[in-house]
Amino acid sequence: MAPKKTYSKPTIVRHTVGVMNKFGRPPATVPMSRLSGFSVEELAGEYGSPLYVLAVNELRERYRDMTRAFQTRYPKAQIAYSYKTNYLKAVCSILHQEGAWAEVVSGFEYDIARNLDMPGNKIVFNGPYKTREELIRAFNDGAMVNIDNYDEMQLIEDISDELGKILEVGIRVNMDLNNPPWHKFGFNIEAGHAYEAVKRALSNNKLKVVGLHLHAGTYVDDVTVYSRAAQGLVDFYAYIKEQLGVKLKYWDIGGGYASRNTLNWAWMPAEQTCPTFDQYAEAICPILMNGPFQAQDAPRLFLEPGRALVDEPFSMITSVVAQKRLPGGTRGVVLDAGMNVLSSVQWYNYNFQTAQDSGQMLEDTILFGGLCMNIDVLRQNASVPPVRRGDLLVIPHVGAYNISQSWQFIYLRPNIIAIEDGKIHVIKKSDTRDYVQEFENVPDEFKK
Amino acid sequence: MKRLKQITNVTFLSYGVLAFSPHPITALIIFTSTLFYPVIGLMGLIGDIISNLTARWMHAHPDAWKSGIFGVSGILIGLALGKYTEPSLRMWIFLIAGSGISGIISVMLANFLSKYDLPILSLPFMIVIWLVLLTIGVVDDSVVSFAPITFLKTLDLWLFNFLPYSIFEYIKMFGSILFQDNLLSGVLVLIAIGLYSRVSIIYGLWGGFLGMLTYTFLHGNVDGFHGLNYVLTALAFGGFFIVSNRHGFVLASIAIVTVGLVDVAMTTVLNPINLPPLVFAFNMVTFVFLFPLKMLPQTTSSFRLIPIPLHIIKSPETNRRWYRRWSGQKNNLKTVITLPFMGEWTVLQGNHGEWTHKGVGQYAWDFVVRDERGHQASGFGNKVEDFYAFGLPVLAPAPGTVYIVENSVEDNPPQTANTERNWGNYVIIDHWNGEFSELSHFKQGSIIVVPGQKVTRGQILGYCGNSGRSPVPHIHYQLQAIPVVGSPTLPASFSEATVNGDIVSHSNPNKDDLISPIEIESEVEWSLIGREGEQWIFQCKTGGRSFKETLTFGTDEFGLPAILSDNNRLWRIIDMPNFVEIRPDYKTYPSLLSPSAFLKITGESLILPKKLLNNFKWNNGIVVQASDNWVVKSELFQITIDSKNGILDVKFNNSNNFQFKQISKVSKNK
Repeated sequence: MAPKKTYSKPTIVRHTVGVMNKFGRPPATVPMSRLSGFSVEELAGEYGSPLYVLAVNELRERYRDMTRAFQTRYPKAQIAYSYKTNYLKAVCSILHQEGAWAEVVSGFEYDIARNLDMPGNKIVFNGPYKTREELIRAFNDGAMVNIDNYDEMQLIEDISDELGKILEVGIRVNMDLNNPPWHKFGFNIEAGHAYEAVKRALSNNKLKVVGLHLHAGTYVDDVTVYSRAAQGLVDFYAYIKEQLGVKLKYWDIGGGYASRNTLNWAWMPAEQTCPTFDQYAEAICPILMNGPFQAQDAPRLFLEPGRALVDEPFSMITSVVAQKRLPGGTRGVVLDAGMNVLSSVQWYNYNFQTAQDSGQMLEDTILFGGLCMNIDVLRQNASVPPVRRGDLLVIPHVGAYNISQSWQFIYLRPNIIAIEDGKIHVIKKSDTRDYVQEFENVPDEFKK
Repeated sequence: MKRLKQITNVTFLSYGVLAFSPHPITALIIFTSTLFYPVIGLMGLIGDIISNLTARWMHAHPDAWKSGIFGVSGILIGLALGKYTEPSLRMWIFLIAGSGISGIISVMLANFLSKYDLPILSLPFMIVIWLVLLTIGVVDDSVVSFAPITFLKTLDLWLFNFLPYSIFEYIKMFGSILFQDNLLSGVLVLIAIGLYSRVSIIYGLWGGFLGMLTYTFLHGNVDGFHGLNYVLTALAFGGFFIVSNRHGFVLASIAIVTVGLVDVAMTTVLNPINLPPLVFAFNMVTFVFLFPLKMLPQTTSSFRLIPIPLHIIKSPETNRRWYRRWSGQKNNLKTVITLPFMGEWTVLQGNHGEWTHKGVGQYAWDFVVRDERGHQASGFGNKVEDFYAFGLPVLAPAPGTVYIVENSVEDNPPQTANTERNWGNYVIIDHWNGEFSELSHFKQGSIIVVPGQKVTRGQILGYCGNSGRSPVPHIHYQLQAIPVVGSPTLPASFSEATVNGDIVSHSNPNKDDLISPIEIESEVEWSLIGREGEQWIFQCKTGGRSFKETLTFGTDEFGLPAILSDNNRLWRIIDMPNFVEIRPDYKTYPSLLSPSAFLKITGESLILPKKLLNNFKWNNGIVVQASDNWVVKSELFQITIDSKNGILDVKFNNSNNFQFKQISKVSKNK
């Protein structure tokens, strides 16, 4: 006869599910069992867990939405996709297919773009560090190069001598936008550095200033920051046009547009605070249209979105590998995805949705990543229903930075798939040990 | 002081308008002709001033007011009262009240009729004078109670005995348009009209003569003949409201005969109640004959009867000049219209649309913005702000001067429409060639241009809204021949657009087409503008003959850029932002004796891209970069272009016997 079980008094725990909230976010207990028409369980079974999933139609929609918003308000608005956010070849290709140009910040990224058959004159080359060889290649291809500092200007003047022609360049400027300062890049307008830089660029008859670049910041969810940036560009252009006779072919308001992911320190969910593309465009374009030019001669306007395009179309499927109680009684759940493939947990409070019906009992839970590292915490405090080992969770909106910043660390990096029109494409296979160690070498001297 | 001068000026102009001769000098002569009986003349002047001032007080359209049309009825009331009533206090009161009322009625009619571009004529006078005469009764021969200027009366009597009766009556008839019953007035009016316009005087004399004949035929004899209706009708149709040509002459003659019929019939009807028919016949016939012409969509210059837009009218001569210029431009230099918005929009309703683009309004477009899911709005679409189009910039489709702006109509909630103020907030732009653009349904208070402001192509006029007959935010565009909102539309097409993904040089987009402005990225541009004095000499071979053809860049009769060749051939250059069209003038005809290879190339019209970009494709061809120049390939031919030297040579795809090769270029102004 089995020993009698210990009696414990029945308790009533208050369910927090189903409580009305005004934010319209789906409650964590509603399972997200399908992605782009496919069952999450089947996808994980076929392609493994963790797994990045790209909904291609969403990516296209984001691009078209943004294009429509800006092109209906400014005659020559052009998106130059910020490669660094996610330079998977397939992602860049889809965006180029839609008409996006490329914005790159290194020779490596430049090479990716050229390798995807982007002509040089559709590449904007930014960044504080560009080598001589990279710059020569860019100028020969007719790329738009934005100068970040005087050393670079000097280098480009040397290149002008070498190539024996006057080079067209853009100048990167910055200014106080009542936002966290962004002074690392370019020349400051208020301090007069920007004006001096333009004057200096024109002084040796080696460079011709045809562009201005002003980037407002990152994850800027206050559109008035862009209004100030636009006004700054208009005022600065009017000034250098009058003083120095500069005629711009393009100006570039940079990137930094937010996506619907809540920041760690944010009070309100991002669904409420993230502006629409129409709102961004409305804040920027009417001001730029006051610039010192006739409508038909408007300089081309470059937009450099990254996050705003690719963040939302990607989701991650991850599975529960263990559960435990922490000393304080808090529930801990260990997942098979770690910070190595979700580096943006530094910034974001990601939303974790179960893929199966896990009941209604939400409990505050710490979500740990699978790395053998104390810092690998994906979410300090998430409301998660009861889950068991092997249950799947879906993390929406993971497309920005996570993939290009992923580290090869402890575990091999997962598959990345793209789904469109009911077809699944593997756009990057998971790493293998051979791939990771391909360039390694153990000299004979080190061998047993 | 300035105001007084203006009022004086308008007061006299009204006299000119009365005889279709609106010029201060002629007006002064006509005024003088009313002074045979000084008191009656004074009454006319008082009526004139009161009527004009009332109209101004009623906020008559300032331009219309300055033309003097609002004083006409006042003058006529004064003069008619002098003729049909005895001088008394009552008469003076009726004069003052009557001319005031006629001023108000004039404004009412002008506002109402301007939509149809119809004149008010002397309709307000007819309404008021009949009311007055029915009230106080007609006194025949009341003129005897007024004292004439003795000397003139004597002169008049002497002339009456001296001249044959018919001549005397014939000349006197011209005074009758001012209710004057003496020869001298007639002479003065004749002089005034003759000074102003030779066409008018000829028509006036013809009208009087034909009227007399008609009356004699209808009435049996010439007794009781009043010429005023005939003369007025002849002047109205004699090149004033329509272009004077053969067809205009026939129409004028038919109108004069019709006036006879109406006038005799009205006399029969009105005699029992002792009411004179006055100018009823003239008013009625003019309206009836003018209305159908005004309602024609002004499509082609092949029309034989051409109504003149009211704002153009000065005299038959200037009308004719305007028409020549306008019809010349209509064929060859229609306004180059580009899309009035940025980015990609969808046609909600095209030409001959299913809802409102019908009849005279058929050549119009409505544009909305849809997202790639096909929705016009984000969210629920229950407020106008949800609609993508709401608040988007609306652009000038072509250069011009802003003519009129309405900016005060509220935006409707979605799915409702303001049918009282159909057009909502709108802008009308004068393109300086007799064509006007009307853009409507702007957001309330969003229009940032003002009347008189010059605008360039693509300049922001205001922002899209939902005012007027607009259930969802959209832009309505139409081209028209007169600057009045909602007037008949002209056929138009948009230059340069991407329609459903294809670049076309001219487009007439239909319902549900996706359309956006084009943008060609190219450093290399060539142009036919700015080459004045330059000559291109070609070695040509066509039809078995070899010859040289010289194309010279100059200007046409309007001073606009054109290409001229041997034998006075002329091609007009229509410059679009990204294309250039070369169109032969109608005078450029093919000739066996002096063939033109260039005419063979251009055909009805030749459209070439101005910006040269490798593999640039549009509806008519493709540009390909050759070693050091560019080749435009179309179904028919290949044209080699050099950005500096222009057209180098042309080869027809299906003919080896054709040769067209530039052998030299002469630049006159080096």
